[in-house]
Amino acid sequence: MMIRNIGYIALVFSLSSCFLQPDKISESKPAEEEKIEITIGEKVTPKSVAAKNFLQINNTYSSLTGIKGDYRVEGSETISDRYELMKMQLPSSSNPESLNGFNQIASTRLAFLYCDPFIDQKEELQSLSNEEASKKLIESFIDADFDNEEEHKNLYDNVLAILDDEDSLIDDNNSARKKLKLLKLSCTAVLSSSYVTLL
Amino acid sequence: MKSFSKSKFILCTSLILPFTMANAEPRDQAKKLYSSLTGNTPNKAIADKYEAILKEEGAKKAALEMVEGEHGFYNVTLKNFFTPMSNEDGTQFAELNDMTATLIGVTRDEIDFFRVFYDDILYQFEGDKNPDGSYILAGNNDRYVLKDYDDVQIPIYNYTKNDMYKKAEAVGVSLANKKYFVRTQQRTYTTKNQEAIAGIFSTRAWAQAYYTAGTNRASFAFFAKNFMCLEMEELNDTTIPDFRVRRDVDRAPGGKTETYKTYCVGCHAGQDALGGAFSYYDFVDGAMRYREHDGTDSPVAPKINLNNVYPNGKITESDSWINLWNEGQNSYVGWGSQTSGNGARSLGKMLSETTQVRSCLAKQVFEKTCGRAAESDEDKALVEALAENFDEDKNMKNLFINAAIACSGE
Repeated sequence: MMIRNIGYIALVFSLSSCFLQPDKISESKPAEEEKIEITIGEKVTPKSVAAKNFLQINNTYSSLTGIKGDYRVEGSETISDRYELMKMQLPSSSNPESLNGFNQIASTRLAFLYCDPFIDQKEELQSLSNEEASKKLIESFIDADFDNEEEHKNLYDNVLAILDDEDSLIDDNNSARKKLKLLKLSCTAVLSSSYVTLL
Repeated sequence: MKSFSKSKFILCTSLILPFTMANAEPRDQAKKLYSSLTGNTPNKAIADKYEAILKEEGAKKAALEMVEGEHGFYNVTLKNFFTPMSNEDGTQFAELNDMTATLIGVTRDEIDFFRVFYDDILYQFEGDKNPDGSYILAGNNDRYVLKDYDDVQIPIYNYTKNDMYKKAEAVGVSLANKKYFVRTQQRTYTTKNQEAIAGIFSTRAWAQAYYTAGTNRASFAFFAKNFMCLEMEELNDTTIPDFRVRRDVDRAPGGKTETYKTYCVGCHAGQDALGGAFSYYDFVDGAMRYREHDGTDSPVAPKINLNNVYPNGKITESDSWINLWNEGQNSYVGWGSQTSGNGARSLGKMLSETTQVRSCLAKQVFEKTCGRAAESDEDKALVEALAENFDEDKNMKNLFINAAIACSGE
C-alpha cells in the first residue's frame, strides 16, 4: 500500500486530534445547574455523547468508504486481518471519558487502511479543485453544513489546509502523486476525527 | 407471572406511548436515530435519505428501514449488546457464537423473544444448495459455500468448536441475510438429547461459559446478572430455609457459623434451589454434555457433588429445582408462575415469564441506544413504558426501535 510510513500516522493523528471536540465530550454529563423543562409525551432528553467501540468504528469506516473488510492490503492480507490485530487497541467502551491516545492512534491507523483504496477509487477527487475536493470528501463522511455550522466550516478549513499543503507536509516533485497522498491524509484525518468516531 | 399492573400500564402508555420524537428537527432526529440503531455515522447522502423517509412516513418507518437496510443493526449493535452476556468476563471482544447468534436471529425474525430461554431454537449459517436441494459442500464435506460472498467457505456446525460462527463473522456475513443466516433447531447440533434443550441454556456458548468446571452455579448467577440486572448480593435473603444448600458450602467459614447464617446462606439457599435445574450439564473437551458423564451412571455431573465440606448438606440426585425466592423480599422480582420443576427447560420457562427480565432488558436497551443510564424520573418512566410495551409484544427489535425513537428527540 502507498501510505504506510509511520510518520504519516503521527502526522494524521495530530491533525485528526484537532478535530476532537472537547466541548462535545463534556456534554456527556449534563451540567447540574442546567434546568430542563420536560413535559412527558413531548420528551426532551439531555444531550449525550458516546464513543464508538472497535466494532462500531470498523463498521463505520467500511460503511462510509464502501470498502469491505476483505479488501487485500498486501499480498493475501486483508483489512479484516489488520483489524483483528489492532482491535484490542481500539476503544472497548462507549464511555467517552475512557478514550485515550492509544485508541486514537489505532483509529487513525485503521482509517489509513480504508482511505488508501477509497481515494484510489475516487479518481474524480483528483481532478477537482482543493476547495471542491475538501467539501466532497467531508460530505462523504459526515452530514456537513458549511453555510450554517461554524464547526463544519472549521473542519473544512483544516482539510483545505492539508490539501493546500500549507505546512509543507509532503515533499514530492510529482504533483499528481502529491495530491493523491494529500487526499489520503485528508481522508484519514476526517475519518478518524470525533465527527465519525463518536456517536 | 406477576405482570405489570394494568392501570399503571394504561397510565404510562397514555403519557409516553407511542414513542414520540418531539422538539427536534427531522434531519437531526433521523441522524440520531440512524446512529443509535446502526452505530454508524450518517453522511450527507444517508441523512438526506432518512430525513425524507422520516418526514413522509414517520419515525417508525425510517427506523425499520435503517434496521433492515443497514448491516450495522444486526452485526454491530446487537452483536455488541448480546456478546457480553455470553461470557463470564462480560467482554465485547468475544466471537460470535451460537448463543449470541440465536439471540440476534430471534430479534431479527421478531419471534417471541422470551422463547430464547426455553425453546428449541438455534440460529446458524448455511450455504448455497444444488438443484436437488442438497448443500454445495467443500473441503471434506464439512464446509458450506456461500456464492454471494465470493464462494467463501464456512465450516458446518460442530458441537465441539465455534468455527462456523467465527469464520462467518470474520468474512463479514451479514446477520440480516436470511438466505445464509437461518433458524434451525438445537437437536443434532448442540445436543442429541431432546431433554437437554432449553433455549440459550443449552447452546454450546452458554455451556462453555457457565458449565465449565465449577458447580454450574454460574448459570443462574450470570442469568440474574445479564437478564435480570441483579447481582447475587442483591438477591441475598437470609430468611430463606437452607435445605437445598449443597454439601460443598462451608457452614462455618473461618470457623464462624454466623458468617454462614448471616451471609452465605442468603444467596445459596435460593440459588442452589434453582440451580438444581443445571445439574445434568457439563462442558468437557469443547462440548456440552448432558446426562452422560465419564465414570458414572448417574445423570448428575460428578462435579456437582464432588466437594464434601458439610456431609449433611444437600446431595444432588436429580435436576429438580424450587423457587424459594417466590416469597419474601425477592418476590418483587415478579417470578414466573411455576414454583418448582425439573430441568433447565422448565426453569427457563419460569424465568421467561419473570417481570424483572423485561425491566432489565428494557433498561439495557435504553442505555445502549440513548447513551446514558436512566437516572432522571423521565428516563425511568420511559424505561418502564418500554418494558411494558416489550411485555406486550415480546419483540426485541421493537424494543430497540422504540427506545431509539424516544431518545432521538433532542
